[in-house]
Amino acid sequence: MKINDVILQAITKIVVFIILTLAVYLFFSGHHTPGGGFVGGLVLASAFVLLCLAYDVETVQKGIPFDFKYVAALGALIMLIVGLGSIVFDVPFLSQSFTSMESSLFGKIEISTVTLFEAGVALSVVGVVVTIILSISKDV
Amino acid sequence: MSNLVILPIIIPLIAGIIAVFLNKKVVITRGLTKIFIIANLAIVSYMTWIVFNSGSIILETGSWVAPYGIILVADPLSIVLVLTTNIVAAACAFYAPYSLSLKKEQHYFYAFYFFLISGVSGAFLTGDLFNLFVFFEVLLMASYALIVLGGDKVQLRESIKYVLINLFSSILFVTVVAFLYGVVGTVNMAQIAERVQEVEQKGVLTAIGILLFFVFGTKAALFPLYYWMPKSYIVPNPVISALFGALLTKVGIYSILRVFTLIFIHEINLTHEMFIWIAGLSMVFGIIGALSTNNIKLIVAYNVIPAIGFIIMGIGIFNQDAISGSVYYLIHDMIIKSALFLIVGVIAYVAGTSDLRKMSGLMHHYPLLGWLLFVSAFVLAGIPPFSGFIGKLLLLKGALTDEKIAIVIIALLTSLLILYSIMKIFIRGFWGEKNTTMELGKRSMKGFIGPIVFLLTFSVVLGIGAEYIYPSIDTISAYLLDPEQYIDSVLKE
Amino acid sequence: MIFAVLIPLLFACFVPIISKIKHKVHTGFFVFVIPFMIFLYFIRFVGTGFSPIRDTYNWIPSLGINFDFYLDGLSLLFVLLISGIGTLVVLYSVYYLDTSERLGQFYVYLLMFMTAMLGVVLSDNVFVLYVFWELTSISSFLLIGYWHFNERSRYGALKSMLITIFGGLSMFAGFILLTVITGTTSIQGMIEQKDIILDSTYLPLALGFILLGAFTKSAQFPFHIWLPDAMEAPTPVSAYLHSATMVKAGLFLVARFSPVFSGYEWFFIVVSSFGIVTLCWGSYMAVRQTDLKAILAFSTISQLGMIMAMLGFGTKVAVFAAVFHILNHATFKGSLFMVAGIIDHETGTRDIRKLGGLISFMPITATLALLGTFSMAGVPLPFLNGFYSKELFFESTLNLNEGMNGVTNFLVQIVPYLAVFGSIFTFVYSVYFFFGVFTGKKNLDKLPKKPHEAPVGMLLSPIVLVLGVITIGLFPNLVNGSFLAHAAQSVNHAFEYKNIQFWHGFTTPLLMSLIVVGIGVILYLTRTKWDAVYRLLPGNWSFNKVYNVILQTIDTYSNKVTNAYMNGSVRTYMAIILGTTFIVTLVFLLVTDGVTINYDNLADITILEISVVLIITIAALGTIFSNNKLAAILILGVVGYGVAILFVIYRAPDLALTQLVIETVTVALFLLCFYHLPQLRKRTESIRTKSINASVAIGFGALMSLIAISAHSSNWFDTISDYFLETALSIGGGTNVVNVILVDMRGLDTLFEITVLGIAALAIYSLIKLKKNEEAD
Repeated sequence: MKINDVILQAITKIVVFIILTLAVYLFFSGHHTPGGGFVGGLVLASAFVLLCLAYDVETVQKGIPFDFKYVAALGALIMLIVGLGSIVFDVPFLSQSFTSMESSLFGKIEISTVTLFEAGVALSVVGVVVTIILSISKDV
Repeated sequence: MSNLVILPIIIPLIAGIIAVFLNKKVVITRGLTKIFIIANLAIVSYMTWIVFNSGSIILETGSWVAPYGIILVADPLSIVLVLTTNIVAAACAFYAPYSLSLKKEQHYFYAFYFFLISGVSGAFLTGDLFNLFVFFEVLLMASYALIVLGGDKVQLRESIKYVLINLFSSILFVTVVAFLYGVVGTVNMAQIAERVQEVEQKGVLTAIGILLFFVFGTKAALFPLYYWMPKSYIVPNPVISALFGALLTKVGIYSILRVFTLIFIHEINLTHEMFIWIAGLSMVFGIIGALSTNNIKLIVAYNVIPAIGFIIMGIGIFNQDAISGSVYYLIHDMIIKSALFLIVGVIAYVAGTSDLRKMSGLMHHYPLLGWLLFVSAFVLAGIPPFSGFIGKLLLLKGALTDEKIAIVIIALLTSLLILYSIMKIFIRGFWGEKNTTMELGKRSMKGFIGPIVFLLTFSVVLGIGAEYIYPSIDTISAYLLDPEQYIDSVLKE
Repeated sequence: MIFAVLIPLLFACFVPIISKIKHKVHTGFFVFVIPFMIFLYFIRFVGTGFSPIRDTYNWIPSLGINFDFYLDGLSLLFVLLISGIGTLVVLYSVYYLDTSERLGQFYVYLLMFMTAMLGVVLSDNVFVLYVFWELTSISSFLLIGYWHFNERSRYGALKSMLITIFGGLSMFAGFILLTVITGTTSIQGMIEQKDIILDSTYLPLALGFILLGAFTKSAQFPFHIWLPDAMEAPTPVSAYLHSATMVKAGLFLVARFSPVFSGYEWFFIVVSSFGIVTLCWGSYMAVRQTDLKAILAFSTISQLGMIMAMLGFGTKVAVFAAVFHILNHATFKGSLFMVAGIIDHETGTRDIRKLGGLISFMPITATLALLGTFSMAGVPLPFLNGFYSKELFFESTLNLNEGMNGVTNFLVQIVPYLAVFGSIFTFVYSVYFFFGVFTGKKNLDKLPKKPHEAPVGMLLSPIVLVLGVITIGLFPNLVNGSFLAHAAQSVNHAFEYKNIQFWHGFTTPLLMSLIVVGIGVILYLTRTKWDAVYRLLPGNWSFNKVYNVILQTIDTYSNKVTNAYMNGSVRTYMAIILGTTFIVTLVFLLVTDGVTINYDNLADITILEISVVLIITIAALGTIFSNNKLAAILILGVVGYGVAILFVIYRAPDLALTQLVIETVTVALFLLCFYHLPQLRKRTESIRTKSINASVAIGFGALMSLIAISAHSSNWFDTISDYFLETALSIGGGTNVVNVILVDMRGLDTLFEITVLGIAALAIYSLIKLKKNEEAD
């Protein structure tokens, strides 16, 4: 699928960064305000969708050369490891814990296993969506 | 609290993820698959021992107490089914390398295989209705992946029906869970049971129960919801058919068993009476289907339906003998159905066709295969002293105790026809003159026979060694008929 | 005793090894030892002072299934028959079967059968009896199909299996019923509680189930059709299973249960009438057969009918005559089968039309046949055992007890005439068998082989049996008090010992015998004149046809039925699934009075909500009716965005956000694979199909809405979500409850939903990738 739409490509270059920023914001704000790993991941993935629409798949893949199947699997693995951590500490599977600490630079920072779990979710979602898109568009 | 309960679910999950990373290194994946499944089998056996000796194991995941968090419950019923699942899965793991092409193995067969087991075990172990839906999705998604593995035209044609109908029932499932939540305000099965009991299943609750029955009935391939099943079960590789035949429909029937012995038990004269009718119709139409074809794989696939009929019959009769019979039959059928799918897989492989009309005289080249099929036919039909006999005995005893004569007669005639449908393969395919048009004797059965013998051993042991197994089954049915035990063990605090 | 029962089976495990040296030593010589040892083991129990022995081994005690062996007179009779005839049959088979045959398999099946049969007659536990019973059917199936490259063998094997296993299953149901009624699994226990059984409302059903088992096994009319086809088995098997032992299992069962049922008038009616009809039909049909083994098969059917009838009569004389005839029949019919085998072996044919004048070639065989057939015919000679039991049979038909029931009295009237009728034909075919084969024209050129006398070894077994015929004939009381009396007593507890005599003076039974001989001779001599009668009855119809038609119907109709509804159209499937769900759920909803509509506690509906819902509805309809796929995809997107707006209205920002992104990604995906989507076509279904589909869809939707409203109107409990709101921050550490639920409270759900997504991605990848690979190949 060769698309040569200069305007779309020009806009895409800018919009992708806005989308990426939004994704990161949604990811981190999730625990207290709307957002979270799932939406964050989806938004991130939609950036790829846009790239694929604007450029052709080969170009996108050259730019971002990982195998997204492994990204998806890695995400699931991270979530699992969070769960397995609870087994090590002999608390029920998937028990989340959190603590907060003061930092001179950022103020109060919360450190939580939830964040790790969310990261897994986000990675998986990105991996999944991109894998699907790449598979389908390569079939064209 | 014990994290033991999560292990049968996450060990396959871990193994599956590893298999994704190692997809190109088939030899290593094969080895790891065997190691993981045997380890899992060992752990589940140990858990079974614990459950029967010191009671159910319960895990409140994420430290959220029942009924608020997701509860996993390894009670006698679920752990026995998880054990059987792993037995079947182990046999399939050893059969797979011989049966599958290298390409299919590389395209994540082992990953899907493990995800399927993870989903099935989860469905058996969860004590939460919404979580049950999630595990249904896991096993269904894995099954969608497995059914199209290879991407033949016929596979795609049948799998689209499979996917559409199952997708519909999943949507209905989640909708019904919402309805139920709307009424009783919870998704924890023990608490649902408690609350339904409190209001004596009044108002809209029975209708919701029936909808839930149809959801599970579609997965279980009951009459008249089984359309997706027979043809879609025969299109993938035999080892996948074996997994499907043993596990997928059985998860559906397990859910009916669970929900209609725990939650919706206050209108038995209506709901359970209907089950008996459906049981009879499933037997009749299932066996008619099995007799209608000359495709050996399809014969076995259709035979899934009457077996489900037998199990639902016991649930419908709802006394201790009948429920014991259902559970016994469930376990028996998981094993023998997978064995049969594996056997016909080998037959189709060595004969080069699955059309019975083109076969004859296989006995001259493959006597062992013939005898395995012969024994399985009797196991399946419930002829003593094999496993089907004990289940059938209990079911019929339960039925006759409750004066349900008609279903007994249907069940017996169905047994006869089941035997006929499989013996047809034996008589036409194995007996007779050597067939010169087939290139027989060239294909070796090496590697196929071990797993089949392994499974059939269990069938024989379940029959002849019933003394060692029946008391446990009796414990299970007594436990199922006393829902307070389940409720108390989950909501004890 | 368990050892005696199981030793054949255990030995069978070694047979395949032994059969490796079959070219040096015939496997049969090793096998021969087994039944002979069993015979010796049991023969020592014979004696006037015999009393029943019980021996129990646990198997599945928790289900009441145990190896509970009970040796009484009846079992002893059968055990000796099984082991005795078994010994002779194995000996005979050594000469009958060439070493080029698959001897290993043959003897494994035969030994398996031996264990099964011993188990049947010795088990006191109904379920163990059933286990062995089915094992006899299975081994019989394998033996009939021994020469499975013959089409007829396969046909016969399948037929015998279907009919006998059908009966077995029915008997199984009967046993369960008796167990449910009495609470015991022991036959003797049931006999003790026969009053409870006789009072039970299930009595007719239990009797029917059990008799069906007995009648199918013992080839009673109209289930007899499997036996003639079973003659495809090697002759030793026919002699053993299909005349002397297995087919008598049904008789055994009836005899075993007669103490329970004999007080019930219908037991008499059903068993006697089936027996007497079988007697007549079997002997009538035997005359018409041309194959020697077929004659013997129908003869066996008729003799079994006769014994069955006597068991039905249940009087002291009848029961004694029955057990006596079981023994006698085994001796003469066994020897006749072996004779038929010898003739087949030495001449190459069993067709009586081709045979004739063999007496000069095979004098010994001819002598054996003469004694066997005349004993079977019941010719009044003092050295033929068949005459004694035949005369006792006539005697018993004359002394039947009148009953309360009109049917009973009718039967009592006609039974003697039918008995004579059946016996006349028995006489005719017996005489025909002997004279047709051994006298008359020799037509050697028609025979495939030049006939000569059989080797000594082959003659040995029939000689022993015929010696039995003569010995019992000359000294009937030799087996009477020590043996038969015990057997009769286990069937009819009131039985007393009486001497058997050849000469009673001119009694009615003797007259009946003379009538039989007289008319029999006339009919035999004139048989070419009257055989046109067979064109009238059975003429064109037979139960064989019924069987064939049933099987064919099963084949064709199952195909038609299945193809009719499994038409491959997912539309039809969905219509049926939805339709059924709709109807059944609706019925349940109405029957249980489930519709509750409650307007309390509802918020006001705003214009905004109404308009959004309208847009969603119109868009959804638009998707269905759109003919342009691009439009359909975009309109579907509208549905999704509409739902997202609804989420916004109901203040669920997380859901709205997710829904929006998902919708966007979905539409994008659709567009990516746009070119692959099939062109939307105008539907070509008839108006009728369309309207059915539409009404199913609308009905189902309406039902779901109704249930949703009812569910909402009946929220009788606090929901667990209150707890989530309270604890999200304190325990979960987050202020966004939705997020805390997703990642913490129900983290397991999330973990596995993500797994589902992962599987989906892999599935799509491997589907597309693998398909491409295949195309490249």
